[in-house]
Amino acid sequence: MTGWAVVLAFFAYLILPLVGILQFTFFDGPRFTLAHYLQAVSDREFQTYMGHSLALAAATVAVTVALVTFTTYWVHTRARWLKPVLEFVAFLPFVVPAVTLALGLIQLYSRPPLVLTGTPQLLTLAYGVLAMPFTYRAVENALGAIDAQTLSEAAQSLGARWTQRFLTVIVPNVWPGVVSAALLTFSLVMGEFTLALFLVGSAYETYPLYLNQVWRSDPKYGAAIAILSFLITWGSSVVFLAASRRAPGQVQAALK
Amino acid sequence: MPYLELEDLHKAYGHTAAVAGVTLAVERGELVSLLGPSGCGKTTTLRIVAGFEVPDRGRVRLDGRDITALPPERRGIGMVFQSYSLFPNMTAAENIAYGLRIARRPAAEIRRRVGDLLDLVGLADAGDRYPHQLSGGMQQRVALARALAIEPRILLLDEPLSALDAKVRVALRAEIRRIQTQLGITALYVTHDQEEALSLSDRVAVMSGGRIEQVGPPEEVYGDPRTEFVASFVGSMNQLAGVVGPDGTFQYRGHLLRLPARRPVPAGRGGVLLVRPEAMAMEPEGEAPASPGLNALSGRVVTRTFLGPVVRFVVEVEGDYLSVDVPGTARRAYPQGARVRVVFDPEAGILMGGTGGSVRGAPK
Repeated sequence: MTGWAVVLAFFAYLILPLVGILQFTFFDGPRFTLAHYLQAVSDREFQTYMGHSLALAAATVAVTVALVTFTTYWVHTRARWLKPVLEFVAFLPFVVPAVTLALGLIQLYSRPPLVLTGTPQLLTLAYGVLAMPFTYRAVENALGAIDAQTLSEAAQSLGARWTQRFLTVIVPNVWPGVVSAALLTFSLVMGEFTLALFLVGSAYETYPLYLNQVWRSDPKYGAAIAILSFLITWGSSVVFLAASRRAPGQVQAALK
Repeated sequence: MPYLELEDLHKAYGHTAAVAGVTLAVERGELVSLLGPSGCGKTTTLRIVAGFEVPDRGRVRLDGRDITALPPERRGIGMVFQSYSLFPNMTAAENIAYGLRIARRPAAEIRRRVGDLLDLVGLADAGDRYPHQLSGGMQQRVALARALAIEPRILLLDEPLSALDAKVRVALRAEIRRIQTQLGITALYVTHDQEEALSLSDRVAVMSGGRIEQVGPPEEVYGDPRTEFVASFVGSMNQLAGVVGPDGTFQYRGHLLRLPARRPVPAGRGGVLLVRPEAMAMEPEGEAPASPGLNALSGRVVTRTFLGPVVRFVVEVEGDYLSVDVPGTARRAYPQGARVRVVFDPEAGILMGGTGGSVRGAPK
């Protein structure tokens, strides 16, 4: 019984704030209304900024998954001596505050030869840094669990070049880890505020920045679009998960 | 000309030499085992042949061609690993087909060949199963089929049976030998298990400290070991340290033993007389010797271990512990502490030169 009580308390802890927000948006006094949600339909700003956030999230996922998965595999099988370095680097984003990271990037990229401040490209790269530990950890664990070294050697003895080994043997077997890392990265970007504020601000306004702005003038609408964003992120994850089920098979098919 | 030639291979990791001068020639269709304890360099030697390790010095030649610098994926070598290493995301049939797909062979050929190989390893019905749905023995059969699918120029097996339980191990051992002779494929087989090496090899190369100590047919390595290491590693050996006396005699702690006549040794030299436990027999001390002319030593039974076909007695003789195997069917039972006479034919002894009389403890 005590066990169930704890589990119930856990869910209450997670869900109650959400219930609170829902109640706040659905009722103006005692009257039920959808007006605050319908407001979003005609709000071009909301749609644009949500689009920015989704694009940033997708780009960040693509960049980190491709870059980190491959690097982790390479270090795991070919350059083990680099592993401590990678471990340390993967720890940094947790230690360095977002503000520090943002200021550092501004310092570096606001002068020639690379003037990138205010561009979504720079924000994507910064998110890549932030998301790197999740992908690294997930892929590294998956590689350890499948004995990637020996599988790689087995494929090699059968004539597979390294690109073939990576795509047909390694990727399909670390895929569940890659997918969960991608989901984490995606939701991380959808909710990120500090880096967006410092690096792009109004030049490429994202959904969290817009939310912050709306919240001050119209709290009911702010709460409504927070719920909408929750649904959109969740919906994208479901679509993404469904699509990823088939991906390793397609890689296989590419080989045939 | 030999089919596979290893010429003076050296490989060191930091200051540790893993392989220190391995030279070996393997004939076409031959199965040669590399036998030795862990760390003797056998696996490193195999990995050099596979191309996963590059030797610091020396050459590997296959079918007359120097392949020392060729990357593994271009060597056409079939490899079977201790950990099976099947691709977990592919069925047994897809695993077997992998190398053929990489080589872009026609689909019809792949299908036919996979079917043939599943038959060959006795898994005709298991093609659709994933590795995690197969037992260890079955997985290793699939791995063998996968390695054979590409029609490799040589088959390399790295302790392929070590992870399996005893019964499967013996069955699969015979299976590997059957398939290897049936296909006439050249094979290099790494193992630390002497029984395995002796039972399935055309020749056994016993390794120690990065070197090959002796190469020969199983009977020769077992019956006529050339070094003390080979003698003690391949099978069990009793060791009697002493000094060679005149006229083919051997002084062992005050006892006069006769040496085998085949290789006369100059008197006065220190040496170790080696005798296999199964070459020794026991008699109660009180009785007259059953057959004169045998070497005889008095001792006391310390332990008795029933091993099935034989009973192994450990007998204390002059402070040394000798192992004596008596057939399990023998009617006489020697209780612990019984005074006995250990006897053996002088011709069963093997004299090794000079450890200067140091005697090791109880043999294995």
